[in-house]
Amino acid sequence: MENNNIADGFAMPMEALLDGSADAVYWKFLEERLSKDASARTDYAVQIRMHYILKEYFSLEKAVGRKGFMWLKVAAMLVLLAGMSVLAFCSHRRVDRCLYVSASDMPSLTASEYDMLKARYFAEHYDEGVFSGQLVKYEPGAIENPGAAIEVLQTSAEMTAGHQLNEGDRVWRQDIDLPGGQISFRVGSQGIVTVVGPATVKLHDEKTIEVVSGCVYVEANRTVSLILAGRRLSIDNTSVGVVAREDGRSCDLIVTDGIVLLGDGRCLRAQDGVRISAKGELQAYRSLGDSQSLQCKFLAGVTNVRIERTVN
Amino acid sequence: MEKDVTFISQLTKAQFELKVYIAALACDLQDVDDILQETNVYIWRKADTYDPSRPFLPWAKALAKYQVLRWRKDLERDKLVLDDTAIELLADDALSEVDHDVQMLALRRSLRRLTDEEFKLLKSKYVARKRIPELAREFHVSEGAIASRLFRIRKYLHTSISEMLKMLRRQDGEQ
Repeated sequence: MENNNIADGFAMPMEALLDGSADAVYWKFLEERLSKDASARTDYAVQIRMHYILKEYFSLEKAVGRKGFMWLKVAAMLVLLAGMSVLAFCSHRRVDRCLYVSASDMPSLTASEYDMLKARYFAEHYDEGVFSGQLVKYEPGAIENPGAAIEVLQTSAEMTAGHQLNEGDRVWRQDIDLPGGQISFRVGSQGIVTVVGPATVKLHDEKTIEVVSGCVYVEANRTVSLILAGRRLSIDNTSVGVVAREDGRSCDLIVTDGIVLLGDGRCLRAQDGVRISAKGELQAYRSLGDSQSLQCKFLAGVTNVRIERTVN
Repeated sequence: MEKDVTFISQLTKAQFELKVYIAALACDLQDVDDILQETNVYIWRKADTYDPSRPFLPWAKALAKYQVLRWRKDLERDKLVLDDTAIELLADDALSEVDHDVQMLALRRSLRRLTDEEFKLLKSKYVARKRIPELAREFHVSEGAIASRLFRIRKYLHTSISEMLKMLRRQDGEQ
C-alpha cells in the first residue's frame, strides 16, 4: 500500500503540521504540494480527519478505559477493584439496598441511536470469523482448558447449590445459589457478570444467564442474553443491573450504559429501567440517580426497586 | 424555544465536523479551537438566516469558512493554502456525512486490525502525546520513517472505516 505522498516526503511535513512543529520550510513545501497535487489534497484531508478522530478516541479511552482490545482486561481489573471497595465499604457501613425510581413512558429509538445500533451490529459481525470465541462444550467443574466458556474472576462467597466455584475456574454451565458475598465471572468473550448475594442465577451457556432471584450486574462487551421472569432479552455493548424478586413475580432491569432494545422501536437508555412481570407485562421507569451511582449501587447489591408514581 | 433547542442540538452535533473542516482550511492546528469558538458565536448570531428545510452542516461550514478567512486576514496571511477545488474535496469526504458516534465505533473495530507495533505507535502519539523525535527514539527508526508509518496507519484506518460504512449502507439498501 505504498503511497506516492509517502515516498516523496509529504508525510514528514504533514506530521509536523499535525503535532504543531511545522516550520517555514515545511509550510512552503505543503503550500506548493497542496496547490498543485489533487492526491496530496485528498491525503491531507484524510490525515487531518483521522488525526482528530484518533485524538478523540484515545482521550475517551483514557477517560473511560479501553473498550475493545483491552476491554476485558480493564473490566476485570475494575470488577476486582469494585468488589474490593464494596467489601471494604460494606464492612464499615450499612448500605441502602433499595433503589428509588420514577414511573415514566417507554422511550423510542431516535434515528441516530438506530444508526449506532446498526453500526454496532455490523462491527460485531463484520469479521466474525476472526473474533468469535471457540465454542466447545465443557461439563460443570474446574477444567483446565483454555477457551472454556465461563471463567470465575473473583469470588467472596460460598455457594449452596451447584459446583463450588473458585477463582480461575472455567465451566460451561452452572447453577449458582449465593447466600451472601459476591462472585464475578467472564462469560466467554461477551462480558463480565457480577452476582451479589443473596441471589440465584443459572448460567445456561457462555452467552446466556437466567436471573432467578437477587441482584446481578452485567457489563456486556458483546451480546449477552438475559432470561428475566421468563422473558429473553439481548444486551449488546451495554451495562445493566438486574434485580429479580425471590417469589419470581417480577424482575427489574436498569440500564447504566448503552441501549437495550425492547422491540417495536422501544428502547431503554442509560438510567431507564423496566419491570418485567411473570405475565410478560412491562412497566417503564427512570432512575433518580446517575449511571455511576447506579453501577455502585448494583455492585453493592440492590434488593428492591421502588417505583415512585409521578403526579401530573 | 423549541426552535432554539433544535438549533443547539444541530450545532452540537456538528462540532466535530466543523473542527475538522476548520483545521483543514486553516492549515494550522494550533488555533483551531479558538476559530471554532468564534465560528459557534457567529453561527448563533446568524441562526435566523438558517433555513431548517435545508441541511445544517453545509450552511454551518460556509460560515466557518468565512471565520477562517477572517482569522487569516487578522494574521496577515490572507492566502489560503487550500484553493476552492481542495475545499470541495474536503466537503466530498464521505465520512463527513456520517454520524460521529458511528465513525468512532467503526474506528474501534478498525483499530483491532492493526499490528501490536502499529497500535503501540498510535498510543505513544495520542496517549503519551510524544512528538516525532521522541517517537523515533522509542521505535529505533528515523523521524521520516515514523512520519511515514503514522501517515500510512491513518490512511489505512480511513479506508477501513469507509469500507465498513459502505457495507453498512449496502445492507441498509438491501433491507
